[in-house]
Amino acid sequence: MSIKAEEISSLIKQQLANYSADLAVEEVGTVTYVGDGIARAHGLDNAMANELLEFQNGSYGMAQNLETNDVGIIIMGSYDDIREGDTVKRTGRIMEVPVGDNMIGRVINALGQPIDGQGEIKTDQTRPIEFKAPGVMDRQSVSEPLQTGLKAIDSLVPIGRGQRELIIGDRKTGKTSIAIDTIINQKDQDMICIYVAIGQKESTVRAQVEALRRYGAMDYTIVVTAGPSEPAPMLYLSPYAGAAIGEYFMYNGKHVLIIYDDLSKQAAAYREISLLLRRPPGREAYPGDIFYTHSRLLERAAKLSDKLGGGSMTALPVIETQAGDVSAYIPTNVISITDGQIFLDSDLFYSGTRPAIDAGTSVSRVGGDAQIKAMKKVAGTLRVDLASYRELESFAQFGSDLDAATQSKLNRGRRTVEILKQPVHKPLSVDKQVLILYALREGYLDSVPVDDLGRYEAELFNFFAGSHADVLAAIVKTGKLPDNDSLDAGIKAFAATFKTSVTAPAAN
Amino acid sequence: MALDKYTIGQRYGTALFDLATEQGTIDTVYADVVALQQVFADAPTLADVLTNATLTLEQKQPILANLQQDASASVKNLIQMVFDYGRMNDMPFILAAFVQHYDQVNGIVHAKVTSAVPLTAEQQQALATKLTARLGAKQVEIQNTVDAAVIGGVIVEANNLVIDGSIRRKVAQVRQLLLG
Repeated sequence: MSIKAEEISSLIKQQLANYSADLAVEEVGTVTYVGDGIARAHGLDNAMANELLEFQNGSYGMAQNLETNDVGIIIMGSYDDIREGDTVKRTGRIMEVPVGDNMIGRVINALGQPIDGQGEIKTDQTRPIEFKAPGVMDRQSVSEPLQTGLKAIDSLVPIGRGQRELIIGDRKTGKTSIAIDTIINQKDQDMICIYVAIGQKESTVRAQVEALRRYGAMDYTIVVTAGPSEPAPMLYLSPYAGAAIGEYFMYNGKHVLIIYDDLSKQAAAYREISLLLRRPPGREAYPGDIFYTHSRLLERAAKLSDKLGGGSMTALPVIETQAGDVSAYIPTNVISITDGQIFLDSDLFYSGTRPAIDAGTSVSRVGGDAQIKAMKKVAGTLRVDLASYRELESFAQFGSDLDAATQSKLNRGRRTVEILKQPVHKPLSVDKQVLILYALREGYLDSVPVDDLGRYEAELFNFFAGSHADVLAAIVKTGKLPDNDSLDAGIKAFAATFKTSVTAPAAN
Repeated sequence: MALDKYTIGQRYGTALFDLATEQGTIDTVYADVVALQQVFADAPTLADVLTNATLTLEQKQPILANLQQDASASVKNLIQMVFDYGRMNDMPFILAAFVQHYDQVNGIVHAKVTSAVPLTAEQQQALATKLTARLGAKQVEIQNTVDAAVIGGVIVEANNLVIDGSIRRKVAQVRQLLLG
């Protein structure tokens, strides 16, 4: 260090000279009411909507209701020591969160502050948490696939980069597992993932973060969390904060996957705030603008035009239903906003079909264009096969004699259901998915006992990885099924070596 | 839902203002209101006493008569009416709303000035002239409070604005600059 004392004092002198020139002019108001996470203040005549306000105790608030007499404020942070009569200052800024590459791998709260105990996040940029979604000319249609690594999703309800696909189902049906598996499968896919946990138990979030870390997924993931013990405004704001962080990457030409887990809790938090702010309640006591709350959030997910860098933000909002009721207020709203939904059924889940995706009600409105050609080919008839199997299944239970065609349909259906099962945190690459679905479509599995299918699948993958790796590589490279019969040859060669278990009942 | 005191104050205050304007007694009413405001400021429990249900009407009446003593007709009526409606604890807000209304119409701004030492008349005059221009008012009335913690300079509070030119703030700013 070679700074001289005189230099320091001359620097201070300079700054002192500058500071004595200015006057601090602040617009203030007086707190007239403090309630759970909200406050009202008299004065603040020029406050803007969503402006950041500073309380006397250093807490920040956000102006929500601008009325003739007072301003309704949601408080972010501690409101225990805010009293009636305290002053509130305008800051002239709207709410922002820090953004930047250094956020990757961190766990932060709704205000962008780190809560993982790994020190300060050094960023020099911020983005407003409310930002207008890209317009019509700023977008292009979804064309690149986002592989979730789950056979049932990638084949039946494919997701494209820039799409908004809803994950909906009762509690404990594996909604979060699908989200986490999707993040894990984005390894080396040039994706940045943001997991926004809204009102999730802190212990659960901790477990998810550990799972992500174990599979090396924290290297490209940001976790934004607002726990159930935090005030409602934090829960309400966290998805917008996550979206703002995602937009930073999207507008820099990168691909982003953002998961809002879950928006039902955000809606409940917003309902709480709205009722405390005395906004008129509507259906199920949600405020009138609850639809707009979700639509403006999800509209920010987009596939940008090449002129804007071609970045994308794929949103996977999660909604929890009560007893499978998808016609409740929030589920219907979000279903209509998104480009499709993955419906998880608790009966399927408990009968062992996991992921418990209901093929009949799950759809993807735009993802088909993003599916690779090979997958499109092998998955083409899957949905119809499953539907006709479900239909016949109920007949088959009467045990009457069935003709050969029906028998073979039931046979195929049973195997299709079995093949679409997948253990948690075991995502599959697209080439392997194509391989097993090809084997299914071509009838190679019809003679394998259902109980042996899991083992068959694993051994088939091993066999191909060992002696036919070039075939799989070709699928990845060209995105098409091989022109020659190399796939068939490989599967036949494997089938010859595969031994069905002795105890298994004969195929029926 | 109970109305909040600001809404109540606005309604009664506006009514009094309109009535006084119609009758052309606005200036006398204003003087009465300011005097009444002073009474309520000097005796903070007065409003509560007059709404307290444990006291009988006979006990409250003399206090009320005392308040009405020198007041003009409309203010006398206001006091009686507000008392009869059991809104006496909203009285300070009614008076404040009236004064605010009057000030707005006449371009008067009340400024609370905090300084380390009492300001001289000339200083107050100079400050008032400056503030008149700055706030776009016709007249600025200065209420000077002394707080040694300010160290030097003044803090002006008017129209929901705080103009802080105190040494205290500058010291705090310099401290933050040097430490942060």
